[in-house]
Amino acid sequence: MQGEVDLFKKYLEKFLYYFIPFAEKLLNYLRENIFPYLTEVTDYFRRLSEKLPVNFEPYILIFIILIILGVIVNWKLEGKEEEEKKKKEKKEISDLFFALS
Amino acid sequence: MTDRKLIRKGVFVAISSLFFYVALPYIIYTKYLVQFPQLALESYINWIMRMGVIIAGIQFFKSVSSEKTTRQALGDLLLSIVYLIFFFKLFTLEVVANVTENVTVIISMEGFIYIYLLAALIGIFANVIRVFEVWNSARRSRSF
Repeated sequence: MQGEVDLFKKYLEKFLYYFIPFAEKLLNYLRENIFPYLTEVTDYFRRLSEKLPVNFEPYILIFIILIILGVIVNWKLEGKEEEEKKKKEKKEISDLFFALS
Repeated sequence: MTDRKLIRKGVFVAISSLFFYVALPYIIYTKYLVQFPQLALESYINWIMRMGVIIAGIQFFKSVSSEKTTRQALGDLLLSIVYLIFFFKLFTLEVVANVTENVTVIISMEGFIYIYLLAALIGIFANVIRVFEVWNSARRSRSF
């Protein structure tokens, strides 16, 4: 068991030895070339997060709306598909019986 | 007629999400974190609970749809958008810790914003593509 732990530590050290400089390089590249383009998106989300309501009621309302929407979607689409599947199965069985007779 | 199996799955997923995002943080806060008044964590916990309610709703919406359907892909997309707003809110919040009477430490996670934003935007883009892909494959199978 100790040998396995030592082996794991050795591989982890090796991995970190190669990974950390690579991660630093990647982060520097992102900082210089990608992150400046994200400032506008960040500002937009900052404004949005400031405007988020502090009360619990709107969140509970959204939750209830999602639940109702989910039930309606399930009722309108999934139930229909299930019924169609059952009808198809019944038809297949009756066809089989008809062919056997 | 509803598909009861999927509804049951959705209810289970929604309840478990509510437990992990609302009940558990509330219990942890009221039992343990309240003992450290110098750490102002109330806003953190409140935001986790608020967004957790929406996440539970979307999880329900996603779980009541069968696999590889447009509505499930749409649920994934909604979930990734809500997670982005949720983590953005958490990263912009600051924890003020009064260590002693004269020393106050402000803990901020603003440094994570850009890297998380990049990852989340890539995820949202992937989910948008997936919605179109699933919708297109469903349309094709219907036309055959």
